[in-house]
Amino acid sequence: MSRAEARAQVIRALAEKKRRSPADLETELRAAGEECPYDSIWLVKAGVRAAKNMGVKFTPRASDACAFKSVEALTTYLCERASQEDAA
Amino acid sequence: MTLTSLRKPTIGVVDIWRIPLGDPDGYDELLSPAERERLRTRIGTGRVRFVQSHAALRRIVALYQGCAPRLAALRVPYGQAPRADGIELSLAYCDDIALVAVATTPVGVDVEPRAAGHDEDLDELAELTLSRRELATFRSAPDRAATWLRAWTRKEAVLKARGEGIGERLVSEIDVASEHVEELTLSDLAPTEEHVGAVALRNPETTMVWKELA
Repeated sequence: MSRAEARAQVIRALAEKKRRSPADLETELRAAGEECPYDSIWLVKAGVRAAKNMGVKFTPRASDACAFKSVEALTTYLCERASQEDAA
Repeated sequence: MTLTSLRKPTIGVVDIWRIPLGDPDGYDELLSPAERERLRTRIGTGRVRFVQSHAALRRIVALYQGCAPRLAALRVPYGQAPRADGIELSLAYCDDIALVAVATTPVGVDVEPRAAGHDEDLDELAELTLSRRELATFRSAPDRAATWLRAWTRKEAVLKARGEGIGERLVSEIDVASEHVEELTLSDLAPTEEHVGAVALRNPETTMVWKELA
């Protein structure tokens, strides 16, 4: 799965959880900065949903805690997990 | 003109200020230059919440310092706890409410809408974020949504009291099943019928005093 596809999954999951359109959410995220920081409770919720949709098992190690700091960090984490599972 | 200072809370006491959020007009004048710079990255409801909560924080600190809000000795570094001379602070906001906790020892506060506990993926959320002990409680709880959300707000309060960010360690490593977490004491909050929260204070006991900002 490409990074763009993984990011789209995260945005879609976040939009579902927040009951907002992906386009509106994207506008807000872009305004917040390159990393797209967001409220952690919603990143955790979106991460769980996106992982489920991607067929990725969400088992972060301590070093993965930073996955919940921003949309971009979450995307990176899920992308890496998806690659690891494809390779396994 | 010298303004009378509000008495600071004594050891073990947390003043919890409850601030309804709404129209931000006029409040952005109270923000510091750094806060106004950060405001440029906010739009929509996020902007409203930022302006109102940060302006309220400045007004509250000014009450304790006995000065006008513009003169309050307050620093709000990005991603860190606000800092003011003589008091410990923590700020949390969501939807239409903000909470400011004021104490004389390190303090952390969190608030979330009750509805945030309801989630189609609640079981997976619990497995990801709860400790083993908390998970056992969650699985036998009559109200799993409320149980999970209570644990989440407690964890956030602990992290904030310790000056840590959510991305610095796994939240499942922070066990909040008990009201005492090492050096911190936890208290659950119900600031409105629609919101829940938690406060963590570095002290063996906590007494909360609710305050409203006019």
